[in-house]
Amino acid sequence: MKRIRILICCVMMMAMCVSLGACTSQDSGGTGEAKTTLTTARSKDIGDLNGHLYAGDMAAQGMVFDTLVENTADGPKAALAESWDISKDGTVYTFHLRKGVNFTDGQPFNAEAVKANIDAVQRNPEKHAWISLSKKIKSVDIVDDNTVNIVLSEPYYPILTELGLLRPYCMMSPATFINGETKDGVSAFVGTGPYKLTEHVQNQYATFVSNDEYWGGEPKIKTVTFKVLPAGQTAQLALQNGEIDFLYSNYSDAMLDSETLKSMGTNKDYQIVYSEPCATRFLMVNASKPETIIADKNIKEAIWYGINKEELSSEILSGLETPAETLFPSTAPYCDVKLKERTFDTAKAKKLIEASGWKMESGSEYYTKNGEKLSVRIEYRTDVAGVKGICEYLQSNLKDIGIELVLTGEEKSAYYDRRKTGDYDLLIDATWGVPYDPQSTMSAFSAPSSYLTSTQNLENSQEMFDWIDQALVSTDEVKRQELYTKVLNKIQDDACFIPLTDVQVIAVAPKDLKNITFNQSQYEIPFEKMYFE
Amino acid sequence: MRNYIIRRILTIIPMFFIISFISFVLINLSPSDPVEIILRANGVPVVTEELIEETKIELGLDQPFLVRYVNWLNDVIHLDFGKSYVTQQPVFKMISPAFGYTMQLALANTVVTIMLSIFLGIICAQFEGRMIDRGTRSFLFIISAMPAFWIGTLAIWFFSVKLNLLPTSGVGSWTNFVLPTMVMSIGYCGFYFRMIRNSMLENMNENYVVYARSCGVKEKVVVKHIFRNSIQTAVAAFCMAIPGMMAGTVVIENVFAWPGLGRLCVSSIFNRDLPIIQAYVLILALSYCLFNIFGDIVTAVLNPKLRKA
Repeated sequence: MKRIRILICCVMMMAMCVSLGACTSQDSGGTGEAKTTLTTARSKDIGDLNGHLYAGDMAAQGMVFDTLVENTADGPKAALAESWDISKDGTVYTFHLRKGVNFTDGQPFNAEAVKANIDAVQRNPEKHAWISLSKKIKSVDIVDDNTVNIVLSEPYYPILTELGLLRPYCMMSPATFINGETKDGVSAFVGTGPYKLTEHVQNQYATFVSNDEYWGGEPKIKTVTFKVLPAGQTAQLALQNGEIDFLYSNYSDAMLDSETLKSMGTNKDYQIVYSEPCATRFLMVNASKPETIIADKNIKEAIWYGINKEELSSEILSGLETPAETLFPSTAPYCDVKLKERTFDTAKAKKLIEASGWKMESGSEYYTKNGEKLSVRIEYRTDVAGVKGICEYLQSNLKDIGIELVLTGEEKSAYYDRRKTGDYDLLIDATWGVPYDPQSTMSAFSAPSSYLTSTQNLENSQEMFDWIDQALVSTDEVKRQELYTKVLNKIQDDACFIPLTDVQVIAVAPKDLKNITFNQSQYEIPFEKMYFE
Repeated sequence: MRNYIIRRILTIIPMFFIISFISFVLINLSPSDPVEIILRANGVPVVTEELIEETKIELGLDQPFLVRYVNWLNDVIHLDFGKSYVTQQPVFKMISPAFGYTMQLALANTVVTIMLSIFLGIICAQFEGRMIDRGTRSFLFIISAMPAFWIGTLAIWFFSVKLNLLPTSGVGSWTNFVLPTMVMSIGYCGFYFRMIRNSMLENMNENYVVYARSCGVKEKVVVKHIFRNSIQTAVAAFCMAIPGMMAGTVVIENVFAWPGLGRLCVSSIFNRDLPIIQAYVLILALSYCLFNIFGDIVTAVLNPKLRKA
């Protein structure tokens, strides 16, 4: 009896300890958080925010740094440059800078700062080889304190779009450069943006405080905190618990899945906000090995016809992504072009397969030819949320037209190795999205580490690469459209990229957070425009 | 005893070289080009051959394997683990806080596991075959068979979202320890309390216990002696469990956003951040060696026979 009493006492003491801890937690948890602070979650640390390199979180970089121009749906607009003039031959761009702007360390933003920034980027050419502008800039000349000329070696029409990309041409305080360079790091992350980084504890959180002298107007949200949380359930539960106020997801950092969104959609305290379609999820088809099954154009087309994108969008992706028929959405510059359509049609798919000599034996599920089964592989990245489910759906779609689809999920590095070496049949990938589309993505068609294995052995592929190069330097708008139209038709007709769905940025937040908007780039979020009601 | 301890500590030296070499070989066996992976991890949109070559030279990866190993080993001996390929920060600076957090969690878990295991082990042994014994064993058997990520998520949902009692994740106050420690220790308790219970039951039937009781020694004193003799096997297992916990916190760290070694190591593996992976493997291997020796010393302290040996 005595032992039982002792036991009961022990259990009660443990229960008290837990309750005490719980009560303390509740007190310190803070339910009355001021509505000028916002906490969001990312699955990775913000990293090195040096805007002239690529390792940092772009959403965080976008809060700290500005660019000369801003990419919008209506084209490039004034940002740190109030206006610009273009020389007749299209090789000199004169930028008139916004006056009275300072970096958050007090340094003035002027022509000297612009020159220091662009020159620092240009001195690291290998890192920036992907952006064609880096190969076209001949010099940056200071005209006066607020005017600067960028001189190009030849006309290059996407200059404004590419100067509007956060990386690598954002403006950082030259005082933070190390020996005038940024390629080996900077001493601090200082820009002219709406926020300044005040605290960063690696792999835990980063705090940004508003820049009260921001040229675009003082942000209403005074403090933004980026917490590092694993994607999925933990982040969703933290949102429900009020520990974070804003959760968003894009292709590269999928913090939300369709199940989470379904459950949050029914919660009246939260809102779900979608951006315009900003990138395309597609299948990359290997063209580098002519002897393989997948190199046959009929099989590529059959796969395209055999995928029910409507159902993929509505059932598998719960309507979060919309069906795509072209590699670039018609809203992307120069992409509003009528292209060959291949809507879901299993009969047509089977006809194409049979036209290539494949036969369906009685009792068999898959086509065969000379004893070989019609089987193709698809590789997907295991670190991209939801992609396995999409592949499994494609597997069932292709089974219906007699093609066996074998799934292989791999880590990022193995996936990219395959993409580069051509050791694949199909890869599931996504475009970089606007404002990189179409010019930057098309430039990567001929890059060995990007899309070359999908484009290299197509008929007249070199000619297509030349069209892309010509389009980039053309000063004639009509000719440029013509060239892009030819490229778009070529990739559509050859079925080297099979579009699946258009991807959006999705945000979930409490209902009282207002003015949630999106930038053109899926990687940046304009926190400075948001406010709590 | 002193000689024994010195001898055991000296075995760490050859172990250090063997472990470091094996880990260096295995990590470098990866078929992917580490330079390319590093550049991708750094977000470079298009990786050109020229950039690969330039980076290879910059990182010294163009050197022969043995030269790289010797250079690395030499630096490590001077406590310089190099710089992270991804963040460009010294590895030591990155690993130290993560190691601290993991160690805190592992120690909290060890304390809770030991206390709970001893408490439940003694109770179950004292009430052998009765409801409380069978109930505890069944409950812990079922709960420790459940995956940690699942229990973790359920615990967050219940304690943090439904009851709003504890933070969902992160670090900061002692309340952040409650959920991860609870989830982790459940699994370990299920194993260790059985070990103590069984050991206690064996000892309870030993001649010395019968003799003590027949001599009229107080029950409290008898239980104390039973416990002291029963705990020895568990002590060695506990000591080895600490580095095991350090290495096995990955799932818990991910569920509870705990900025420890596990998360750092997994992200480093995906980014092929070799300096961090090598340091991680080395630190954990040395931890195993040290805790193994520590366990031996504690056992020797508890058992005078071993001291004499």
